[in-house]
Amino acid sequence: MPDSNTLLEVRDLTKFFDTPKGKLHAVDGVSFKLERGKTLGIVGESGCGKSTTGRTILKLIEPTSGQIIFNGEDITNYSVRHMRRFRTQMQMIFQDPFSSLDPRQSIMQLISEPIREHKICTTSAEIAKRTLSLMDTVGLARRFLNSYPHELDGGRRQRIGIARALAVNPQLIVCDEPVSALDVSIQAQILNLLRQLQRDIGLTYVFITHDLSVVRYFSDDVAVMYLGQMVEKASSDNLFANPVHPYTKALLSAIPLPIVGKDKPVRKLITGEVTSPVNLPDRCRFFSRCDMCLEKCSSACNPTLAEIEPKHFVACHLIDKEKKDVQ
Amino acid sequence: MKQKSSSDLFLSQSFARKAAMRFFRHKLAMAGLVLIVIIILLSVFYPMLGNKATAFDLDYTAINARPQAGHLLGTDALGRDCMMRLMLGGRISLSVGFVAAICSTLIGITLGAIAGFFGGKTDMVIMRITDSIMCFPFLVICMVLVSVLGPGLGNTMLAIALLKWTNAARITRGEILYLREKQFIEADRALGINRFKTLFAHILPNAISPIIVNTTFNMADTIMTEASLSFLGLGVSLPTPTWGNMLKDASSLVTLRTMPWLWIPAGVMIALTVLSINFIGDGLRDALDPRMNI
Repeated sequence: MPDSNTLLEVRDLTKFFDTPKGKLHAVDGVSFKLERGKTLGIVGESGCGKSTTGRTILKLIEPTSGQIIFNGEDITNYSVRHMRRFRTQMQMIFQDPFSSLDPRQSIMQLISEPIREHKICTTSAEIAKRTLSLMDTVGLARRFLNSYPHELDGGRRQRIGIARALAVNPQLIVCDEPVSALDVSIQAQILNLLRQLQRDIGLTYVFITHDLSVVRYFSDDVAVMYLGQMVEKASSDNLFANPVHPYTKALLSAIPLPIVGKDKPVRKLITGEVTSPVNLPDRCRFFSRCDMCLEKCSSACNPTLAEIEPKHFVACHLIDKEKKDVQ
Repeated sequence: MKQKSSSDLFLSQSFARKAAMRFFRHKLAMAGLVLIVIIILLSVFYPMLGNKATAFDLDYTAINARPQAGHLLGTDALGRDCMMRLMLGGRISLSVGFVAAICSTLIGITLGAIAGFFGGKTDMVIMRITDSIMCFPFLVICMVLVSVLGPGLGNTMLAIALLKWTNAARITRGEILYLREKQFIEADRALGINRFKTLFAHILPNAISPIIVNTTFNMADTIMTEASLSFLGLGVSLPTPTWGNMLKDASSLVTLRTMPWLWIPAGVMIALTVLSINFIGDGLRDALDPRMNI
């Protein structure tokens, strides 16, 4: 019997891309559960597979293996046609509001398109009414109805993207770096809008970002990804207060703090470059850049997620050592 | 000012009306439109008002006559009235230009869209057919086609339409391949928009600019192609006049040097037609793009 409060469950999701050099491990064994009305933040540097994870959950990219269970329904093997009807349940907000809107369509056409497609309203008067109410919901002035995307700024365009996603009454929205292309002042507006929508409609978010301060503000749970794998996952407060994985520690210490002078904390810098995700050997992915490497890290297999305290998961050989030290 | 009600606002300006207004504001396009309308009206009504027989009847009393009253553009080597021949020729050249060019562009867009949209084997087969048509000498296949179908106006159009679609197909396919990877197309997929609706509502409208430009060039090219086919006896056969075979008739050095009234009018008409079609094409392209400021 599935947990009725779990909206989305991802089990051992993998996505390999075939490249001339071999298999590229974009997403490699990601698992998580997401409760209704909560937000899971996925953070990691460029190329770590965050976006691919988000797109695979929506089945915009077919997963190589693993399971995606939405609302107790296994959607992993749904056909394209079946998925199209299912899109009313799960939606996506894109990173770049400049390229994710058709430049030849007016705001009215853009927002009413999903309403028409999924027959949420049938008569044109109802469609008009719903379009306008969606514009009100996302804070777009009605006078922009006949404008075109190129006439609006990034924040307003992102609001159009949000209105389009909301048009079909989804339960889950995957936000793929929704604010990283925007100015800081507008970022805050959009984040507040997303948060308010969550309160009002009870939306569930998968929030993909590389901006740690955003994720701290926005997420209930945070998952840190490195080279296609989750290396640490915990509640937002716990992760920021008590990071365990060396990669998470380094990421957190990279957040700029408004402290100068003697009290300025020492940064933990990661050296080297990300290992190529093609044909990875079976050992810790962070091995080559880790400054806390143990002897076993070079030879032992890839560490798996282990629960070190309730709801705090870490994949690192260091934990075993800490456990031994305690003993 | 009276506040517009919400539904008024919603219906106020359709895209087609907006685009039409933008088109009418486009100065060059309007100039082209006026010019082509004048040419069309002249070709339609001048022969109706005058005596059509002067274009065909031989008149040995006035051979190679200079422009004069009664023969506004003079007469040719057989004493036929050049003005009447020019206008009758306009009927044929323009209809071949429009019909064959539009048909071939439509064939090209359809095949190119199918190839680009479905990809894989479909793409392979269509593009190989396109390549093989492109690398055959045009006139040779045309000869085969016409000798099977027989010469004539309809068959000339058919032959051109069946052989000249390759550029439109390649351009459409290329645009679609490029647009398919755009994020707004992925956004459509995420929204669960029907694939064909995506193609017709989002991909093709964004591919329209190069297609329109290609169509206008194609019209110009078609008028010239008809001329070469007529010259070879594969197109519209003499004595029916077309701009093309009037030019060919005048293509001797002596004529070119001493009797300019035999070739300048036909050349000017072809040039003006092609030019105005190109202007109209530019105007259409700009009017259909909401990002252009007109």
